[in-house]
Amino acid sequence: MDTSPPPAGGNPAKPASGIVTGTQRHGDAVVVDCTGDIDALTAPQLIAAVAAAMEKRPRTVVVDLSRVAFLASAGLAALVELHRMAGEAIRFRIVAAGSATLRPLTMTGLTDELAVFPTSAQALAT
Amino acid sequence: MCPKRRPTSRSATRLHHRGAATAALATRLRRELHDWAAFAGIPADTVDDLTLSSYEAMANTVRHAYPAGTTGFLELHANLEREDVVVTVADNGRWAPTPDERDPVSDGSYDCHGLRLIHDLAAHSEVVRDERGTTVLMTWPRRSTDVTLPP
Repeated sequence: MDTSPPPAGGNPAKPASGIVTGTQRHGDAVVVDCTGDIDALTAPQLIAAVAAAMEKRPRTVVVDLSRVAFLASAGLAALVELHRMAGEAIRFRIVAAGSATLRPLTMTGLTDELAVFPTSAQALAT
Repeated sequence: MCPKRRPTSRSATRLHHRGAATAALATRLRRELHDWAAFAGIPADTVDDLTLSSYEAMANTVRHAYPAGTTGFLELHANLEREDVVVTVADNGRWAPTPDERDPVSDGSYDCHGLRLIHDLAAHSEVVRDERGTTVLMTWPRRSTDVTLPP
């Protein structure tokens, strides 16, 4: 299970069995955009990509799940783990728009625990 | 990626696969189940709920059913019945036991998110543990239960 491929930017053309992440800087914030399905196979890729973005110690990290079509509990656990990694030093924000991501976040009560916003503009403005 | 691509047996009313319990198989079967259910004309919201719940059950099998270093089987059944769509996920291992066997959601243990999603997303669900292994049974109505009257 520890054979997760390298994160972010590696192979943006790879669709089906992975997620594609892209990172953009906005001042002292970093937005990590995810596209694809987040399940037990791909959750390690999400952790790796966001952890890499956190290494530069931005003030805010936004994980944008707007283009994520499937979010399993392994992905929820990854978000909780990343939130823990962000600690006090980094503000950790999530963007979730569709029911594929909002439903599991809401049903497990994680919308109360994590800062979830409908758009990345709102996540960056707060 | 997938070592042996054993085909999934599939008809308009039934989907079945039994194979070695791996994360890759769970991902593949999740996609096949989604397509099968969508093709069966099940409402889109139900297709999403069914896909996520079934995946969580399969992921639990992959993660918890068998001791590290061993692999047992993972079996997925989906059936269209007269009123309902029924999905079962079975293995012959033992999930990490929970303090309250009757209600595994309430124990607050390590990663209960998956079980919680199964119970919340399925119209009816039960987890049966016996000496043969663990079976998760989930059902949804085939048609939307929302009563939306025309304007």
